[in-house]
Amino acid sequence: MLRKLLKYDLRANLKIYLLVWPCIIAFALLGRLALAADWHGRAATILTVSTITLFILAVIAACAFALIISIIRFYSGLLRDEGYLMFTLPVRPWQLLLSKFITAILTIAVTAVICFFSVILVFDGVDGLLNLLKDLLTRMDFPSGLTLTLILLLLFFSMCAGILQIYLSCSIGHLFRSKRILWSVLVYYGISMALEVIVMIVGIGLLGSQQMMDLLFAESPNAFLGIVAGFEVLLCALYFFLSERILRKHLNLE
Amino acid sequence: MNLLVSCSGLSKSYRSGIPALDRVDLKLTPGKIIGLLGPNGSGKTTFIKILAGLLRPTAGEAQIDRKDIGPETKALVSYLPDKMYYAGWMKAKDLMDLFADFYADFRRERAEAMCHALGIAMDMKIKTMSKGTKEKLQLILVMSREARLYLLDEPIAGVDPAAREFILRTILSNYSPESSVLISTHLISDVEPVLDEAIFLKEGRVVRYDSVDNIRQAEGKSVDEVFREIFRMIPMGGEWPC
Repeated sequence: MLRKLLKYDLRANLKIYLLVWPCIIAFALLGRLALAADWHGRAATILTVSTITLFILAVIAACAFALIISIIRFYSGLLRDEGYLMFTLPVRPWQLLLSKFITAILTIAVTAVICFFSVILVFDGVDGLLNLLKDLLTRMDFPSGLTLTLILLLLFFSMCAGILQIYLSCSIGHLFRSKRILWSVLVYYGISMALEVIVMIVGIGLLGSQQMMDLLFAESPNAFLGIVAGFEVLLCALYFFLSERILRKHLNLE
Repeated sequence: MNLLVSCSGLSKSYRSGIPALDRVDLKLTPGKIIGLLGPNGSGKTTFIKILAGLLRPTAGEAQIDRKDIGPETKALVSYLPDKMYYAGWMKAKDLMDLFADFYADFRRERAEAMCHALGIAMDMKIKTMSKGTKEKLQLILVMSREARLYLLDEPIAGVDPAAREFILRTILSNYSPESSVLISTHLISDVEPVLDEAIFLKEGRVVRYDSVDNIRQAEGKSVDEVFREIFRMIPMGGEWPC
């Protein structure tokens, strides 16, 4: 059943992204052409600057768009009218939640990768892009490859925790009878603030002081990155568990 | 007894504290078209949502085909909500695919034939359809399943007489003797001709549950008249102001 849900969620997202992704690549190619062209004069400069500005704006918009779409797909797909269809399918709430989550992660990750390589393509050309790929692959074999892997893992789990925190906030917000979006936003900031306080208290409690934390980061960055990544995984599990429980036991469709 | 739905002590309270359902005890058998009758706010939608698995009761229990409400019963229930549940990106064909993927009892050829008869093209985007067409498509999908229990929440509210006739004809021609149809409505006279049984809900409680024939025989009135009697609004002081 999860596979079937994924099929529909991916299809819904691809309808949107199949317009967005080619646009970023088209802007990147235009930007590259503008930078590589051997032209002179005021008009040429204006054209080049405009093209590059448009490309940068497109990349920023695509990244923001990816996050917004993942929130809208969750909110309208499960907590608004479409929820009447999804929650009467013969599936379990965790499958609905997981399907939305995997789809969001996949589309955000693909958007991020396309944006990253588009930037390289514009400013370094195709050769620069290939060199960067080779460099990345070579680095993975070096001892510092562990640090790089941990940083990538940390980024990935932070992204997952961020999305699941939004899901949990929407799930709690929908328990209110009115102003549900406002409540969701307030819950999101409430969770963020509570988290900062907890991290500070637990971190200082475990390691003695802020100086000890700084020292650990300086002396053993891999251990530090591993601890933080592990913490993000714990947050993901907690957010998912709480969201699923709310959707299973307290579903409150309008 | 061949039970399709059984509820005992089923109650649901919302945060306001007012019970939407209050200790409902019911046993429904298959092969019936049952009217769930009551004014607005009597608990009809809450009862249907609990059976559809969209709400959890505060107390008591409900079973469909002797199974607790969950994914297993959702596979047996075909639910028509009182609102449109389509995703904006979908075409009629996408909805057919979805129903065919998730419901083993969905009869696609039947749905497509009904759509064809009503001029609903499969590649038509749902958001471009009129409200009436969307409602008909939703009903076609729901009634094209060979479900054990059809839950239809206000299917004829706010539709024109022609559409009302289409809806009642679709319900009558698609349900089977092994299944039952539970229709919630406050427009009694329109559904009365198709009903086998009637459940009267008042302030979350079942005040009467009987066969339509028994009600007519015992009261010497139509179900519509009995409904008006039960739910007559008495003004403060007992008299309407002049």
